[in-house]
Amino acid sequence: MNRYLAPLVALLATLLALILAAKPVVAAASWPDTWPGTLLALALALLAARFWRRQPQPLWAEQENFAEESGPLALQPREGLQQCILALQSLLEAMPALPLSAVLQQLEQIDSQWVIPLAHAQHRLQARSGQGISRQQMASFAGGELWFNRARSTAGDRYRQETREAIAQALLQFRQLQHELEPDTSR
Amino acid sequence: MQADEEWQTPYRELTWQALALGILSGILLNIALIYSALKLGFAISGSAIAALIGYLLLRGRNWRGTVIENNLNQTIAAAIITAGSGVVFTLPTLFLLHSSGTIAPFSPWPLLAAGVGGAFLGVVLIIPLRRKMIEIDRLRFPTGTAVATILRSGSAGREKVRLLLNGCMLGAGWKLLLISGWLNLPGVVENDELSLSFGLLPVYVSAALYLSPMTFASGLLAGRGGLPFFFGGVAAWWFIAPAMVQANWPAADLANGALVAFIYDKALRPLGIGVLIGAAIMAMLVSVPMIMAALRSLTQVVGGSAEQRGKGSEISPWILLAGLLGALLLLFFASWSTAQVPLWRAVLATLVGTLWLGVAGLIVAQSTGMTDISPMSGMTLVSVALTMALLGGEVVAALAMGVAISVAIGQSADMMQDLKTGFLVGNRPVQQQVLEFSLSWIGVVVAFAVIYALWQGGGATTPGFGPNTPLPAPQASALAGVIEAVQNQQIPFDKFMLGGLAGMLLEWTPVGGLGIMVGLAMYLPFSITLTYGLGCLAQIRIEKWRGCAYSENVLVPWAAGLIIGEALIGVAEAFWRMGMG
Repeated sequence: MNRYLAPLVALLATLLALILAAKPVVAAASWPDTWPGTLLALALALLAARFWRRQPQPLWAEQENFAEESGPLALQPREGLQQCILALQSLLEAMPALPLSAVLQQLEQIDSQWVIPLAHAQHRLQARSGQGISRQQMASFAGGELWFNRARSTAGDRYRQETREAIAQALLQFRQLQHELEPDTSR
Repeated sequence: MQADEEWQTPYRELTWQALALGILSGILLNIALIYSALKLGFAISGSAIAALIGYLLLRGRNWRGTVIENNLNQTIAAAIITAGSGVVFTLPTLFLLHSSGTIAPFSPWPLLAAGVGGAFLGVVLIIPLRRKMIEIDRLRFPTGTAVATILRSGSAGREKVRLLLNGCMLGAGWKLLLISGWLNLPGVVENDELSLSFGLLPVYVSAALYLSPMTFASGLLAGRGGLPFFFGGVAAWWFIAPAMVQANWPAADLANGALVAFIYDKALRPLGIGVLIGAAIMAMLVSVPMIMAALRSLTQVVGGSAEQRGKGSEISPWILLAGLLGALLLLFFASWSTAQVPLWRAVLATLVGTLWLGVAGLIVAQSTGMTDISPMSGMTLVSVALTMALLGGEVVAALAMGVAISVAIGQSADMMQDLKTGFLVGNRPVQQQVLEFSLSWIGVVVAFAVIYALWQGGGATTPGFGPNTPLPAPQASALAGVIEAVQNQQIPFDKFMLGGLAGMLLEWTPVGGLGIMVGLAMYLPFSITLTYGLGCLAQIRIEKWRGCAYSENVLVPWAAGLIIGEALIGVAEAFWRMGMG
């Protein structure tokens, strides 16, 4: 219940402030006589928003429903990232023997199975305070994702060398992120 | 080339073909879309069309062109088109005011300088926010996502192409049905809106759905991230509007359409603009650490070795700084070289105008990223009012700043949209940033030439565009009306100020972008928000049911198709209506 109280009060008080501010003015460049009420409601909203900001946060910018997912989607980012790296490494090693159409197919599979869910999971955990994903780590993941996307484009364009390089760069970035995500054992 | 053959040549990225096609298609589409904006009153995004042209011309012949090459072609074209859109809503106002005798003859050069300065500023001010908006906040940018789907459609597999085409045909077919008027049913379907009131709900709750596949698809792409926009609309039209009526604030003799127009024009829209401004200021304050980090990382690249610089993913901060200073000089020249403006006012207008430009650019980029809807016209109106106040009511100088700000905020949103597309296809941001920075000014020059030619084309006695001509220029006429309102001190500052405080507070809450979304929802008619919200809810339901991979692989190409289909028919309709006079 407490989890919802602060957001509810903050939003309702802001709504009240907006209702009071909506009163049309009699003459141009004047103020509606409801302005003290608006300021009072905003002060209450500010107080509630302070409490709201201190709570652990859900995610709004993208979707979060991985609690219900099964299989790889339920993994924590560190485990998921490890699986993604293994899949990319295997693909890189098998590449010389594969036609590019097969490489592209595998890249699309890795995208569906690992990269998209990881992007969502990273973002979800980053939005929740205290769960160890910093903005820097989000940016590192995005760096790897950009190279991965490039590999999909170059493979579709049938350029083998560029695809290999892009996969290698994506692996490099993801490994760097893996290193950043490792728990600090020195403490 | 056979299906399994491979290219052995270096990967094609920035080629002369991509550069030439981008500039040429950008100029041609700019001219066409300026003409249609003067005729119809709204601008059409050219990104998807440029990507399709590139798809046909760069990739069509033996499939030699690449995804990244086409992405660069589309980036160049979109930069030129967007710069023209910024000019077409502001510059014609001056011609109209001159023809009505409100202002004396004016020189076009300071205005051109302001437009070019705005094109540079829009790019340089938004680049430091790329990492935050695209990599960390992961804003959706529905049109950017749709364009990426077009760019990759050749290699994305048959299933995605099929979904894209299905969506495209459905979007185009539905739009054609709307244009034909076959769906119109008095009292139920009118003006592309389906009434949901069924004669039971009061008219001021505005229960209607906007029957646009593009709007629904934007909601599908945004999903949960778009819900605050929907709730903002619900708050505005199902809580604030009824409360106003219950309190007897509107005059008793207002009814039906007049009552809705009163609530919208006198309360919700100005409050929405205030909320947007307040939210953008707070978003900027909250983003300061991120901007500083971005600038630090740019500086580290500059300080590094030549090899590191070559691999840098962002444009050099020295170029950004040079662009910023050059643009400031152009803006200063624009405001000072018009008559009757003292030096101190010109300096003040330049500095405050640049600051406001950054805020407005952020508002428009974030709104576009979250909802695909740009509050550009509202920002332009506020910009002109602000600069008129700073310049002591000097209309030409204020409109020069208005041109700069309008161009800049359009460029900011377009830059971020293109960077999102680039991210999705794996392009290096630096390539796109350099191209936008160095080529967007072309769009300003072309737009000036076209508007000037159209005005002169009217002859000595008849205006080339404006009311009662074949090109009515509705947006410019509206801006002229606002300028007259400012001159008569009719601007609703109370709504801007109180809405601004509420917007700052909403943006400070932990829900990212809440203030911007609520402000935008109050600023727009509710039918748009409702359709968009249904798209969001549908996406959430489908993703819960089928998982996020299904959503990305099936919903995204299908929704992208809906957006492209409606956009293509919209452009075709504009040309058809122009052809019919």
